[in-house]
Amino acid sequence: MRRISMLLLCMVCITCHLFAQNRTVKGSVTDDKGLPVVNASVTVKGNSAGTTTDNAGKFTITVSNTAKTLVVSSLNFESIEISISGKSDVSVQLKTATTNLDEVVIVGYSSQKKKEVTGAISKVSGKDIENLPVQSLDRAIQGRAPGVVVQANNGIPGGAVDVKIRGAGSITAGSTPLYVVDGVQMNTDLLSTQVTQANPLAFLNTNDVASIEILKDAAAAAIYGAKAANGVVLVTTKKGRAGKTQFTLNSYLGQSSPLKYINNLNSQQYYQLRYEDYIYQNITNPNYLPATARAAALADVGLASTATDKDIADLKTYDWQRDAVYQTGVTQNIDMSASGGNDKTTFFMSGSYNKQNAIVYPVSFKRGTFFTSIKHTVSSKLSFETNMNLSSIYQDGVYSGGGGVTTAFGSPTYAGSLMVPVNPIYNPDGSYYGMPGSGQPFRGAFNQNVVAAATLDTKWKKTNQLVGSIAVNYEIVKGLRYRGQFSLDYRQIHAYNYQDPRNPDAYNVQGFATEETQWNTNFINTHTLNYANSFGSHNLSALAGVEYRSDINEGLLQQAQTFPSSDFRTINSAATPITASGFWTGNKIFSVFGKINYDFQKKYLFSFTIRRDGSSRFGLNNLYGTFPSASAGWNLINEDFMKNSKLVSDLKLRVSYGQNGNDQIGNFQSRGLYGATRVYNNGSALTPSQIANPDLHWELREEVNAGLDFGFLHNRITGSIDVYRRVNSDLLLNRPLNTTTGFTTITQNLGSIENKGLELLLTTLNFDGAFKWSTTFNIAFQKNTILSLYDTLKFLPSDLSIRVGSPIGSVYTALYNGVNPATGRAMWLDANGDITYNPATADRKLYGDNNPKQVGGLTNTFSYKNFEVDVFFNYEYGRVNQDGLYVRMTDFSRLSNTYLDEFNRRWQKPGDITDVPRPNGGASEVRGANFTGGTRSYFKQDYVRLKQVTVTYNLPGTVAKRMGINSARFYVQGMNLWTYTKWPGYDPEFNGDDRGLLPQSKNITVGLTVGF
Amino acid sequence: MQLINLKKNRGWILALLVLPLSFNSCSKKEITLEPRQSISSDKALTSKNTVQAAVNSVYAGLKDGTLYGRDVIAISDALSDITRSTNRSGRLTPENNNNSRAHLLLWSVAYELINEANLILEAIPSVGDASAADKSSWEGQLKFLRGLLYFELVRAYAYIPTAVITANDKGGVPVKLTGTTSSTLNAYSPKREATAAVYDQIYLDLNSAITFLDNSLGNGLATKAGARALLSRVALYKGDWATCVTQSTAAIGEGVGTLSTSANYVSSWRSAVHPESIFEVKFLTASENVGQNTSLQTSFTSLVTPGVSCSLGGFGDLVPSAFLLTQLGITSGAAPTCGTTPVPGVIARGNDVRAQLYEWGAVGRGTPNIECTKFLGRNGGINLDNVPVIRISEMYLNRAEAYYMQGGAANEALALADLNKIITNRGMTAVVATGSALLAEILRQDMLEFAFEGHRFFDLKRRGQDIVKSPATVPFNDFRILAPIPTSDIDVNLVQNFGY
Repeated sequence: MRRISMLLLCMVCITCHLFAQNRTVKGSVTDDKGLPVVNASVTVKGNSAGTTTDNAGKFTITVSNTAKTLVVSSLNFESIEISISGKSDVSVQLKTATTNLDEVVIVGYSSQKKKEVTGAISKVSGKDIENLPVQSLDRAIQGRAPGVVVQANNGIPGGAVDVKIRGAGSITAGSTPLYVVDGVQMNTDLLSTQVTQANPLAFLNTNDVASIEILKDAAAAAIYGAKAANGVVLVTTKKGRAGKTQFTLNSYLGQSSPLKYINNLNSQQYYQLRYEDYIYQNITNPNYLPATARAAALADVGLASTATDKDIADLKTYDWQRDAVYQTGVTQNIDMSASGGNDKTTFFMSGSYNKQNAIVYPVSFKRGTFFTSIKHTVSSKLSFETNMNLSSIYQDGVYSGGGGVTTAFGSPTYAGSLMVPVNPIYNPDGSYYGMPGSGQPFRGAFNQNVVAAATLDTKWKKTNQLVGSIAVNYEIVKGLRYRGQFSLDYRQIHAYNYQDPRNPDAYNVQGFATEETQWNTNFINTHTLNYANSFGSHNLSALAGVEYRSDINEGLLQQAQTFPSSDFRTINSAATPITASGFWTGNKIFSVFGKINYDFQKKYLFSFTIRRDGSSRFGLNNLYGTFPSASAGWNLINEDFMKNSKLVSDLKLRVSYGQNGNDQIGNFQSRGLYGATRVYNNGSALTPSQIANPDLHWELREEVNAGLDFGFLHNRITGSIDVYRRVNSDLLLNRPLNTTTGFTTITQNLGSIENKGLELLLTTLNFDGAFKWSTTFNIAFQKNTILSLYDTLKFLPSDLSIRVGSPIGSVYTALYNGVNPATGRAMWLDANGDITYNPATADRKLYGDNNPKQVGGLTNTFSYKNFEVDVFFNYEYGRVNQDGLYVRMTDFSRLSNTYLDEFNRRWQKPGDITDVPRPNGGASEVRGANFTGGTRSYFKQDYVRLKQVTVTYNLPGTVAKRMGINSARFYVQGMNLWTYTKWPGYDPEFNGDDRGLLPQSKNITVGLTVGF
Repeated sequence: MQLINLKKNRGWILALLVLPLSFNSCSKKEITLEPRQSISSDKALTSKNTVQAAVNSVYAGLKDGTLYGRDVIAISDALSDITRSTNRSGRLTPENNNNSRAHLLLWSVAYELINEANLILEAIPSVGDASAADKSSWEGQLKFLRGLLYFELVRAYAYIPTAVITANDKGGVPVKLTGTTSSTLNAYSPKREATAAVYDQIYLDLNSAITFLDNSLGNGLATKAGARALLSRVALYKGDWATCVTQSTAAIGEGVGTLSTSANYVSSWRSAVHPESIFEVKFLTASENVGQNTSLQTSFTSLVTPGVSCSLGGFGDLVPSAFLLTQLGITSGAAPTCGTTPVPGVIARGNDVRAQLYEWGAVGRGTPNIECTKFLGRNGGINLDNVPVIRISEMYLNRAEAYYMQGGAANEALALADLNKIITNRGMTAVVATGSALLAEILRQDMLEFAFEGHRFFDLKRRGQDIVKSPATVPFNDFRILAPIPTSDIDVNLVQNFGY
C-alpha cells in the first residue's frame, strides 16, 4: 500500500514537471465568525480540477500562470470568486448561504441551475432529514415540500408510506410517484407477503442522501413520459470530493412510547353493558325476565348464574393495553462514512446499522447498509462512475400484518382496546392465561391470549436489496457528452410465518407454517447525449436519449402443517404440505426522449421535452405513447429596470404545460386470459380470468402550471408560489359489465379528474447575527374533482362514492341523527330530511372526503453560538374518514370492550337525549340498519403535529481540535411530541382502515456526530 | 473542397449514427412479454387437456363461498325458521335476522360459471385430439352443471312456480347460452325471461345430460343419476309431479348412492364421502380448505371432535332453533364446563337417530349451544368437508310429495310407503297418515332430514309458507323472500325484484 502511494506521488510529481509553467497559490478559508471552513472546494474558474481545505481551513493549489480567478465553495455557504492576479496568498471569508437560488437542481438525466428552472420542482436537502429516526426517505420528507402529501400507512418501522404529489389523479391505477435514485428508476411496488410491510425505499440510509428533488408539474416530469403522471422523486446520494479523507461517525439511541391509550370499560361496566344488551335485544318478548338477562350477562363475565352483586363488584379488571400489548420501544442507529479522493478519483463510502423495536412486541426493524460511490476520471474526455447500495433488512412482524392492518382476533394491536377486561393476561405462575387445552376460557369475541400469539408465533421478513449502477461519460466533441448507464434494482424478500401449535389458531392442526420468497429484478439501460453551448447571448443545451427497462417480479410460496411440537419450527419438519405455489409477472418498456433548453441572456428561458414510450402493458392497438411538454421562464431580476431595486433581490416568473402518462395499470391488463388457479377432484382447472381490451393504454395527465420565485431584502425573504390545474383523463376504470356475461368488469380508459391547487413556500431569515432565527413555511391548497365517468354516468355503480362533481374518496352515506329519546334506537335522515330507522341507498348524502384540503409544514431554526434548535410542525386539514376501530368498538353487542365515554353517554331510559344508542343485541336492530352505519363513525382527521424538535450543540472548533477531531455535535431529538386532533382512535395519521393498526409512536433520541 | 472533415467531425458522425440505430430498435419485439401463469383466450380451448381442465374449472367454481362452499347451504338455513344465529363472529346474523339484502349472493358467480360452460360447449366441436366419447361426456357434464346453476339462480331470485304472488312477480332470470367474448360484449343486453322459460331451459339441459352421461364418473362429478336426481327436484319445484315421480324412481334405480339405515346413519355423516350422495361437491386437499372463518364446519359448530367440548374449534355461528330441537325430540340440560374437572353437557334425545348429530358445542366462545355436527372436517382436517348436494333420501321424499300431490288414495299409499322408508331408516316406527296430515309429515321429515343442508328456506318458499321465527315472522308476501339482484346489473330490461 505504501509503495503504491509513493508511486502515485511520483506520478503526480511527474505531472507537475510536465506543466512547468505553473505556480502555487496558498490560502485560508474562514466562515463569517472567523472559524476555519474544513473541506471547502477550491478550483480555478473554468476548470473542474481543484483541491479542498484541510482541518485548519488552509489550502494549496497549483494553477497555471494564466489563471486569474479561484472559485471557493462549501456546503451551506455562498460560493465566492477570488482574484489571484499577482497574489500567491489569499484569505477567503465565506458567507453563510441565505438563499438556495444559486444551487444546482437535478431535473432528470441532467441538472440545471435553480435560476434557470422553468418547471415546478421542490427540493429537500439531505441536511433537513439527517438523523431522523425513520427507516425510509419518503417518511422523512413529510411536510417539507409543498404539495407533496406523505401519509404513513401505520407505525410499523419500515412500513408502507403513501405519497401523493398534487393529489390523486387516478381512481384505480396507481398513484405512487416514480422514484429515481442516482438515475436508477426504482420498482416501488409493495411486494406483499403474509408478514409485515417492507417499504421498498427502506434500503437507503437517509443519512446517505444529499438531496431529494421532487418534479411536481407535468412539464418538469415529462422527461419520464409514461411513468411521470404521479410526479417524480429524484434522490441523489452523497458523493466524494477530492482532498483529505473525511470521516464522519454518527450514532443515536432513543426510546419510543405510545401516543395515547384508549379509555375503555372496567369489568363492572362491561357487565352492566352486557346486561342491558340482553334486556334490549329481547325487548319485544314480554315473557323475558331480568333474571334471564342477568344470568346471561354473568356468563359473559365468567360468573355462575348464582353470583351475587358482591361477586360482580369483586371482578378484577385487566388492562390489556398497558400490561399486555404496548411497551417502550428502542431506537438505535450507528453509521460511519468516509469521503475523499484526488483529482482523478473521488469516493464516498458508508456503512450503517439501524434498529428499532416498536411499541408492540415483537415488531422490529434491523437494517445494515453499505454504500459506495466512486468516480474515476481517465482523461478530460472520459470518466467512469459507479454507485452501489447494498442493504439487508430483518423485520419481526405482528400477527398476520401483511397489509399493516390486522383484524385477526390474535392480533395484539386489534385486541388491545377491545379485549373483555375480565380476562387475565397471565396465570399466577407466570404462564399465559387461557391457552388451548388449559380449559381456561376467554370471555368475549377476542378469545385468545394475544401476548402468547405475539410471543410464541414466529413472523419474520428479510429483505435484501441491491441498487447500483455503472456509468461511462465521454465527451465526443467539445460540448457534446455521451453517458451510458447500466442500472440494477434487485430486491429479494423472504418471509416466514410460523403459527405455534400452542396457540389456538394452529392448535388443531399442530402448527402451521408459510414460507414465501419474492424477487424483483429491475434492469435499466440508459444512453444519453448532452449538448451545451453558448452563442453570444444565446445559451442552448439539448438532451437526447434512449432507455430500456425490464422489470420482472416472481415468487414462491409454500405452506405446511402438522409439526411434531413447537420445538420444530422450520417447514421441513411439517407432516402435511398444504400449498406449493408461485407467481411470475413483469413488464418491459422502451423509450426515446429529448429535451431542448434555450435562454437569452438568462432572462428569457424556454424548455421543450418529448418522450415516446412503448410498453408491454399497453394494448396492441396502443403500444406507443408520446408525451410532450413546454415551459418558459422570465428572470425579471435580470432586467435592467429591476437591477437597482433595493427591495427585490430575485424574481422569476414561470409557466408550463405538459403531458404525462400513468402506466401503473397492471402488467397484463389488456389481454384476454385463461388462468389455472382452481383445482377440482385432484384435477387442474383452466378458468377465463380476464376479457381482452386491445385498446387499453396509459392514463393521460395534462397540467398547466404558473409559478413565481422571489427574493426580497437581499434574499432575507425567499420563496415561491405555484398554481396549477391538472386534468387526468383516459382513466383506468373497471367498467362494470353486466355480470350475466360471466365477467364482472372490463378495464377501459374512461373518465377524467381535475386537481387544482396553490402551493406556497416561504423562507425568512428573521434574525441574523449572533442569534439567528430562520423560518421555513409551506402550505398547499388542493381541490380534487371528478369531471366525468363513462357514458352519461353520474356515479360509479360499483362505488357510489365516485361521483361526477365530487372528489375521489368522497364519503357518501346516510346522515346519522342521534337516538330516539323514547326508545334508544339509532336514527338517520332520509332523502327528505325525515327520520328513518332503515336508510336506503337513496338517502345517502355527501359528507366530506378523505383528501386533505390543506397540508403543510413549519420549521423554525434558532441558533446562538454553538447551540441550534429546530422545531418542525406538520399539519393536515380537511380530511374526513371512517374510523374502523370506532365502528368495531361502538358495536356494543359484539362481546368486546368499548369506549368509556360512549358507554357513559349511552341511552339508558326514555327521555335521554344522546347520540349513543342502547345496546341492542345484534349488530343491527332486527330489520333495521346497522347502528354503526351512516355518518356516526366518520370523523375529521385533521391534525397539527409537533413532528420534530432537535436541540444541537456543536463543539467549538478549538475544543474539537484539542481533542484531535474536526468537529463534534451532540443532539437531542423528539418526534411526534405533541398532536392536536379530534380523531377518537389512537392516531389520525394513517391510511386505510385503523382497526388493528400499529399506531405511530412518540420518540426521543440522543445522538452524537463526530467528524475527523 | 472537402465536404466533411472526417477527422474533425468524427464525434458528431458517430453520434448521428448511433442515435437512429437505437431509435430503430424500438420495435414491438423489445416490448413483447407473454404472461407465464395464464394463456391467451384464443389458445385456451384448443386441445383435449385444456378443455378437460376448463370443464374442471366449472366444477371447481361450485366450491365458491356463494355456492356450495357455504351460502347455498348456510344462508338458506339462516333465512329459514330452523336456525338461530349466535353472533359469535358476526357472520350469518343479518341473514338470520332477515335484514334487507342479507340474502343469497350467488348471481355473479353462477353466471361466471355458466359463461365458462357456454364457452367450452362452443369450443368442443373443434377440439382436434378429443374422441367422440370425450366430447359427449363433456357436453353431458356441462349441461348438468349449467342446469344446476340456472336452477340455483331461478330458485333464489324468482318465485318458485308452485307458489307465485303474481302482483310482485318480476319474472325469472336472464338465460344466456352463448359464450362472451370481447367482440360480443357491446351488443349484449340481458333481460329476465319468464320463470317458466327458465325451467324449460333447465329441463332441456338436464334431459340432454341424461342422454349424454352414464354413471362412470362417480358422485363427485356429473352422472346420469345426478342429472335424474336434479331433474326430480326441479320437477318438484315446477309442480310437474309426473316427471318428479319418474325421475326419482329412475335416479334411485341408477345405483349411485345408498340409503343409510338407523344403524349407519351417524357413521355416514362421519365418512369422507357420504354413502347417500348422488352428487356432492368435493373439497379434497388441504389447499381447498375454506378455513376458520367461513367453512360450513365453523358456521355450524365450534367443536373439533364430537363429544369433546373442551377443545375449541370454529365459531358455531348458526345453531338449531328451539323449534327444530323440539321437532328432533331434543331437550337440553346443563351446559358443559371445562377447567380442572370438566363436566360434560346434559342432553336428552328421542328415537330419531338424526338427533345424534346435535350435541353441546365447545366451551370458550361465550355460552355453549347445542350445535349440528354434519360438517366436522370429514375429509381429514378441520373445516374440510365434501358438501352433499343431492342425497338419495331426497328421492324418496320428493317422490312421496309428488305422489301425494297427484291425489287419490293409491297415490297416497305410495306416498306413505316412501315416507315410511325414511322414517323407519331413522330409528322410528312407521306412521299411518292420510290427507293433509300425510303431507305435513312428508314436509316435516324433509325439514328434519335436510336440516343444515340448505333445503328448508326453499321448501317453505315453494309451498308459499311464512317463515315463522322469533323475534318476528317473515310472511310469504314479504319482499325478502326473493334475493336482490346486484344493483350494478339493473337496467331497463333487467328489473330488480320488488321491494329492493
